[in-house]
Amino acid sequence: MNILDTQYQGFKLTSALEILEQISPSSLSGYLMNRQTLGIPLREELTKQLQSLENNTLVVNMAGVKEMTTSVAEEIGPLLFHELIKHRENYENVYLTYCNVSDEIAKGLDGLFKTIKGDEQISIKQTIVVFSTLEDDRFSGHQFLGQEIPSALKEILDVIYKFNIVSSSTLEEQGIKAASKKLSDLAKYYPWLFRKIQKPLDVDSRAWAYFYSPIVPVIK
Amino acid sequence: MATQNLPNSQYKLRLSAYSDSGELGYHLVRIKHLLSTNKTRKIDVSLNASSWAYDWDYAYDSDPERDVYLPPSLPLPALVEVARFIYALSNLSDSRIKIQLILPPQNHAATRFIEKTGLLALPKNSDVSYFKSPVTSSSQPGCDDVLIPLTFVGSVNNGQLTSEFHNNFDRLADAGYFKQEHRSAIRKVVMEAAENADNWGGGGWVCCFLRQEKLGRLEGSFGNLEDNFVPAQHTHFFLHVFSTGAGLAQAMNQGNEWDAADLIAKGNSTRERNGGRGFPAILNTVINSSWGTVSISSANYHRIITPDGLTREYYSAGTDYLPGMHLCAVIPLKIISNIQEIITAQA
Repeated sequence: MNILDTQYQGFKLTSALEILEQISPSSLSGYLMNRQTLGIPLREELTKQLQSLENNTLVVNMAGVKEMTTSVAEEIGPLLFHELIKHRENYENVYLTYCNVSDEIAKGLDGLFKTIKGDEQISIKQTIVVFSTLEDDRFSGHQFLGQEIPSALKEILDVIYKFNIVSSSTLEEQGIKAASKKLSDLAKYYPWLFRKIQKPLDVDSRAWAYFYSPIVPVIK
Repeated sequence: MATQNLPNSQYKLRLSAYSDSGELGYHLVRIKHLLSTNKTRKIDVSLNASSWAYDWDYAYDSDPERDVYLPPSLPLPALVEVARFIYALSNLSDSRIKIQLILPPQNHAATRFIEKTGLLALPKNSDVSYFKSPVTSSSQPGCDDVLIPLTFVGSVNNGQLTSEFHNNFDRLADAGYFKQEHRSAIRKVVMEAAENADNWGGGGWVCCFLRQEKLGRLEGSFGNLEDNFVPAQHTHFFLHVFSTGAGLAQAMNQGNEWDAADLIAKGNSTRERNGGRGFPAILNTVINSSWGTVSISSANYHRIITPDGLTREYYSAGTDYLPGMHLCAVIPLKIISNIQEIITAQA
């Protein structure tokens, strides 16, 4: 098992600072302030990119972003996440994550995802996965931010993000009980945090099974 | 207050220990009037700011019973108000105005603050002199001054703090003036405050000043701490935000300044949507901590809340005021991390 198979984990990498270079050249120091002049335009551009996707993960590269005020963080954090949820109503294989996220930025986003309320139409668990590093198109240092995931479900997600791709039997091998039931719960409550892939078991085989993978390829 | 309208249009303005922002607003309106009634008249504004600042300073420094640290011991609020007045004068964009500014003695901590932060932007041909006093200037043993220059945040820089600000900040942090654990919190606090300055005033000024004091309040007790210096406790971060646009009542959509100050003191923010509590949350946290001092000044109203639990309110007479607002927080570094937590939390 543990096949590193990136054909199911396509992603589009977009740099927050490169977008800002167009929007607000004076913010290239990496300290981002002001909802009107920076937060909203940045979120709108990211939303545009997100809405252009049908089957990929949008990865917001936060390299160079050192600190944000809460209003900017709210725009490109929870409010962008709400755009993802709306877009997924028609394109359920579109995902969103952030990479090169520093501890400070992660801390700020975590607080906002825990507290900011979404639109009335969107009543979902506000949880997102972010990565501390990106190297050779592989991500590492994942952490889940925002509303806490029940430990039984988080345990499964951690295995998925550790092994890159797993089946329910892999999970059982890892000592996780009632894996199928927990996977169903994950798919019900946190479908934007992992991919569910239908794959043949062997190259020549007509038999297939469901596999579960992170939303971007990770370093095992 | 002594105002003279001399033949050569010299306008003398001598501030005293009893001065206030309303007095400056009165003079601003008078000067505007003088300029409008005679298109060729040149006005030399002689502004003695030293008395306002200086009297406050020594009144408190000489008090042996003082048990809490109050900002008047370093009269920055007074001098920032003078700066706001000068910016309001500069906004008239009238080349006929020339300012002669008299600051406290040159080696005084407040003067050093004024000069190193670049707080005053005097019009061309204006100049500065220094008050001479036989009294030794305020320089307590163990004090140190750390300065972050005044930064304008507004449309010209897209509402961002300048690179110069961040570079200076990093240099001070790297030099060890404050602990690394406070680095992120201080910067975050300044960024949040600066964003409010811009949002409220259509552009605002932010300046910060870090000063280590031997005076302060010891946990669980009161008293003079000359022999018990605790850097995290006795290093105070002065954060001033001022603007020359809308007053607080207008910015907060309130009927009067008193109600607007109430909302600010409670931590209410007018920011859009529900995130980002900003400077009001900073002020509210300082007040609740009973460790720092908060000053709110807008139009005819000025409120100072000190760590001894007292709230002082001042109302200016008359109807002419300085435009904009001036908010100040004096924050012991020991609570600055708490503030960082709170400003990212939901209101």
